Order: sequence, then C-alpha cells, then structure tokens
Amino acid sequence: MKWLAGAIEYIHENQAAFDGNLIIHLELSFVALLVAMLIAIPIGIYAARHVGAGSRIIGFFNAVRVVPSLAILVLVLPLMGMGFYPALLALTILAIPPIMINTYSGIRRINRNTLEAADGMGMSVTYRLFKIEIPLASSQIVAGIRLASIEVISSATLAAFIGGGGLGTYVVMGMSMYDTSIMLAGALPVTGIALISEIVFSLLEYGLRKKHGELD
Amino acid sequence: MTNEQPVIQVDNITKKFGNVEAVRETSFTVNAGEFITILGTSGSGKTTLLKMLNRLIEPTSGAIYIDGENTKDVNVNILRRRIGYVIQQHGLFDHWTVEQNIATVCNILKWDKQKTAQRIDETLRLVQLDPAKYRKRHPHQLSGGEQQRVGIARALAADPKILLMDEPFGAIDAVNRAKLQDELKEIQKTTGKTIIFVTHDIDEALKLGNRTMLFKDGKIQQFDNKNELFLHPQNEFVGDFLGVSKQLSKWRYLSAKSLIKQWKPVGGQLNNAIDADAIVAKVVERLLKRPADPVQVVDRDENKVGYVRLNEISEMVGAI
Ligand SMILES: Nc1ncnc2c1ncn2[C@@H]1O[C@H](COP(=O)(O)OP(=O)(O)O)[C@@H](O)[C@H]1O
Ligand SMILES: [Mg+2]
Repeated sequence: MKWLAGAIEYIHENQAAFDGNLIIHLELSFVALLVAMLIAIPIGIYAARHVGAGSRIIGFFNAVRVVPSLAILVLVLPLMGMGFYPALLALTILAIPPIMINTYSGIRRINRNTLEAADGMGMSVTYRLFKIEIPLASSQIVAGIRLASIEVISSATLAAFIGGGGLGTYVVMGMSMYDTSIMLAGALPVTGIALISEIVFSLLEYGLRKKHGELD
Repeated sequence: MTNEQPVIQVDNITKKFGNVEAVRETSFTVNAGEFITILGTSGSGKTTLLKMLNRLIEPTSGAIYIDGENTKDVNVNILRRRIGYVIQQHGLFDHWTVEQNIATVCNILKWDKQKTAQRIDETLRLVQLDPAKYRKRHPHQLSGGEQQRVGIARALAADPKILLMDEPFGAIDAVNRAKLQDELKEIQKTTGKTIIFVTHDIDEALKLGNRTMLFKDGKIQQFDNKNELFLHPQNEFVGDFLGVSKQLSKWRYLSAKSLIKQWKPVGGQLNNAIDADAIVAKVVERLLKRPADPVQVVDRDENKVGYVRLNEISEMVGAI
C-alpha cells in the first residue's frame, strides 16, 4: 500500500513527463501493432493459399516466435542504434508471428464445403476472399491481434532499455534506484493498458464467434 | 415431344485423376424440365460427373453443351451463376444471415435491393419457410432440414434454369428426408426447372426422377424411366441392382399400364377408372376398397382401357 501510494504520488509530481512517456508507450504499441497487421495478414493469407510455400513461411515465423522479446530488442541495436524507431521495429517483428499464424490457420480451417459452395455459385477469387474467407477467419485473426497486442504492450516496457522511452523508463529508473514506487509508476499503467486491450479484443472475438456459430 | 435442343448435352466426357478414371466416355442429353436422378454406389463417379457440368471439375476430354453452347467457351463464373448448386453439407455461409445467404448470387449480379428482397421472400416460401421468422437467422440457428431448405432457396434465388444437387438430403433423418423429397418434387413441378440430382439411395432416385441414370465405375449402365429400368434392364448389373427391391418396387414404382396385357378401345362407361400412369399400389388399393369391381386402367392418350380383377392381380404383378 505504501508503494502504491508512493507510485501515485510520483506520477502526480512528474505528471508532464509521465504523460509524455504514456503517449510514447501507446504510440509504440499501436503503431507496431498496425504495421504488423498490414504485413502479417496479407502474408498469412498468401501462405494459406499456397500450400507448399505457405508451410515454409509459417515454419519460419513459428521459429521467430520462440526468440525472446528482449533478444529481438537487443538484436536491432547494432542495426539501427538506440531510440524510438529501433524499438518500433523490434516490437513490429514481435507482433507479426501471432497475427500471421492465426490468419493462416483461420483461413485454412474454413470448411471445404463452404468454399465449394462459394465457387459453385460463381464467386470470383477476390470476391470469395473478401466476402467469405476473411470474414470467416476474422475471429481467429482478432485472436492473433489480441495475443500480439499483449506481447507488444508488455514488451514496449523493454523499449526503455534501448532508449525507446515509454513507461519502461520508470521501471529502468526504479530498478537502478532501488525504488519500488517508481517502478510501479511504470509497471501498473502497463498492466492496466494490457488488461484493457485484452478485454476489448476478447469481446470482439467473442462477438464474432457467436455470430458465426463457433461457440456451440 | 418438341424438337427443341436439349438443355444439357454431354458429349463423350472422360475424367482422369492420375490413374483413376472417375468418369469414362460418357454421353447423354437432358431436356428442359426433366428431373434426372443419377444413382450409384459411393465412388462410382457421380460427384465427378455432376461437377463437370458447372466446371468445378474440368473434363480430361470431351465436351459439355448447355443450351447448345460449349461450356468451355463461357466464362466459368458466369456459367456457374446461371446454374443452381446444392451440396450435402449445405455449405451455407456461417457469417451471413439466411437472407444474405439466399441473396448470394443476386448480390454478385448486383440486382437492385427491392428485387432481391422480393426474391428472398419468394424462395423462402417456395421451400416452406416463413420469411418473417427465418430471414434474419444465422445458419447455426437452423435445424439440418431447415439448413438444407435454405441451401435450395439460395440455389433457386437467381432463377437458374438448371439445378445441380449432390446428395442434398444425405444427412437428413428419414422422416424429414421424405418431406423434403415431396417438396422438391413439387418445386420442380411448379418452377419447371431442369434438375440433376445425385443420390446413392434407390428409393430416392426412383421416387424423384422422371429418368434415372444408373452409374457404375464411371460409366452409365442404363439411363431410362422406371418402367424401362425394371422391365428391360440392359445388363446384369442393372437387373441385380434393382432386383434387390424388385418385388416391393413393382408396387411402388411401376405404372398401372405395365399390368395390362390386353387393351381394348374405350367403349362403355368408366366408373372405376384409374390413370394408366398411376402406380400399381393404387390399383391394388382400389381393388381392396371395391373388391367386386374390376379396375379400369385407362390410357387417355391412346383412348384404350384394360381391366384388372382382384383374383388376377397377384398373377399379373408376378408376370411383370
Ligand atoms: N480430386 C480427386 N482426386 C483424386 N481422385 C478423385 C478426386 N475426386 C474423386 N476422385 C476419385 O474418383 C472416383 C469417383 O469419385 P466421386 O465422383 O466422388 O464418386 P461418388 O460421388 O460417386 O461417390 C473415386 O475413386 C474417387 O476416389
Ligand atoms: Mg459423391
């Protein structure tokens, strides 16, 4: 309780700096997620439609997935140096695999009869993709984005280690000063943001699954 | 009979999957408004044959003409929008409501909203579903039979001339299947669609088809109406295949005229007449109701009549 009160007090005393770091944290997370979606969803769709190349692509990104987030952050250092953009790059790399793998499997598990019916009714390839396949895979794509967002929001904390700023700044500072209150001033808001994102995406995923009859 | 060109003309098509010849050198024609059933055991090539008609499968050799036009010369998507297609596991789009599902082809063809809405209601009524109750439902909120009905409504929505159906009632329980069969037969009569219906169920094939194509090992064994199939099986396989249920089937599928050996011109009063195309069971039913009176089997086209008496019926059926 003492630490919590200390954290709140610390935030109040450094409100302007805190707001700045909060915005950087949100910006890092949001932009990384958005860029990752723009890359991962098309590649996931491509992989799902090209069986041979597809399984190799997915295999590669499954391998990327086991690299720890801190390792990815450290790996971009020699390439791009310190700062916001290297952190953004690292977080984007981190967010790509879950979104891509879920897009791939979401499209692959669509019932063959459904696709045959679509073809049999005379849908063109793109019409079928946008009207049938992507919507039917959407709950699983959203699940991938949900997983990626948790990973990105929490790993954005580590961005402070490579000078990317964000709420991780307080964790790094608190650790070096042995001050738990300062650490919590960073850690608690990160937890809160992660929780909100988890809830929002879960609700969206649930809504889609319910609509598609995937819950029974 | 008119001398119109056939709606479907299949000219010597073969389909090979690697070494497997799923369909072999098959030719046949279908006329407008016919209800054709394709009957055969699993793996005989029925689905392959059907899918070649809407080019979901391309034949290895041979050609298919629809309304005289080689289907190869038509854009494949345009061809398919003109042919209704219904499969066993409904294949409805789970993320769409019933009305969106039915409107699939109308929307691809960019029909205006009002015309589409009207058509949705029409087809829903045609398959015995109350539009107000079902329009906004999702496929998972329907029973198996209702899903299959929506599948049929969807296939009919853009008013195609031809309907292809691949074991559409295969997964439905017996009671509902019989109901759906009756309804489909009625729909075919009222709409005049040309239907090609694949099944492995003898009763279903004989009940629904004006003509039935018996299919085995990728080849047509015989393509005829029921009477011909039973009375003149063209090979041993056809005889054996139908023979399994022959005694029962005679009553249920053969027409009354096949009982009559001696025809007379219609002369006197017809007070116990039955149409020559009615099934044998109807004759028997009538005899049991009025045991003293001979039934008059009347062929109105040829203005002739034949008589069946109760004490002769079992002999006559046996003689078919
Ligand atoms: N896509 C395919 N690839 C390879 N073989 C196939 C394919 N489709 C069907 N076959 C084979 O062709 C034969 C006929 O199959 P099918 O037309 O599905 O029969 P049916 O519908 O009468 O059960 C079977 O031996 C089946 O294994
Ligand atoms: Mg089949």
